[in-house]
Amino acid sequence: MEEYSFYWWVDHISKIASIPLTLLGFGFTIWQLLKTKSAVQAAYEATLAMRRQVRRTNLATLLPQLTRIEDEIDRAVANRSVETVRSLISDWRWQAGETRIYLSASNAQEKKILRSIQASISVAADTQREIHREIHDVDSPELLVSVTDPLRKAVSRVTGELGAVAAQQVLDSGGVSDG
Amino acid sequence: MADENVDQRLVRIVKALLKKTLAGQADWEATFSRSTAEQFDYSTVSATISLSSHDKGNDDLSIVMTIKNDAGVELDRLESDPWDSLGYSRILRQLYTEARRRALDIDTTINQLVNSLENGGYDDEPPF
Repeated sequence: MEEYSFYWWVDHISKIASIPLTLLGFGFTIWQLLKTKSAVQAAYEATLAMRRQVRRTNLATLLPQLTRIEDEIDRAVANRSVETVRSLISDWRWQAGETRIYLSASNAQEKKILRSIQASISVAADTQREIHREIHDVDSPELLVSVTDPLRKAVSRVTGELGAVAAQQVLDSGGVSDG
Repeated sequence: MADENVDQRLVRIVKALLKKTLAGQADWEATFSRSTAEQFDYSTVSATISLSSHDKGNDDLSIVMTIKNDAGVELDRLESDPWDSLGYSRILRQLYTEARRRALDIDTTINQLVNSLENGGYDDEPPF
């Protein structure tokens, strides 16, 4: 049987199953709330729950893109490809910035991720400056590994923290069986 | 004596951050490190404060605090001067020292080393 990675499952669930599941969840939430609350209150709370679910689904969709950039940065550093690293850093700054839209500072777990994203964007900007300042000879960019080390750590922290949120979502949406 | 050219809000940030750091409520990250320069960052959800040192020789360690926005763009900076003529350099240096201490987890390493050496130690190797 073909093996699927964790991120494949996250991506798959996000893209295919999220909308009907969300709508189903919305209906179920209203039905549950109607038992104890007025229709208006039930609809309001169900809407909030759906918004929360949509935000989390979008986050799970962005995670594979961020992990792809992380992998490509590692590969470009290993290949000593300065120009590719530069380009990927720009991608990270844009994509990580985009991710912030779906996070809320009022949630402790998401606030932690927001701070990690901010740290990574700041380090990314500094790394671009460092590369410009330190690496003049693109044919022998030995400094690339050390210069990008803080960035790779910061990026790894973001994807790790987002991965934990995505994993929680997979569990909340019914789980994924092994094999 | 405070200088009119210094944005006093930046000095207030230094003081507030020092207080927060001393209370153990600020997470500092070591970022860039060179033989003559180091940098430590503190990030909120939408801004980053960087403290960097630059060894100018003759025991003159200059500290620069930079404020960056959510895109990592530098917005403002505060730089120490060796004579503390503007009244904030001593606090800025203290903040740098404390940030460095926390970012590098210096106390834990030194305590483990002292404990290991004084008590015969379970581990003869230095903890790094």
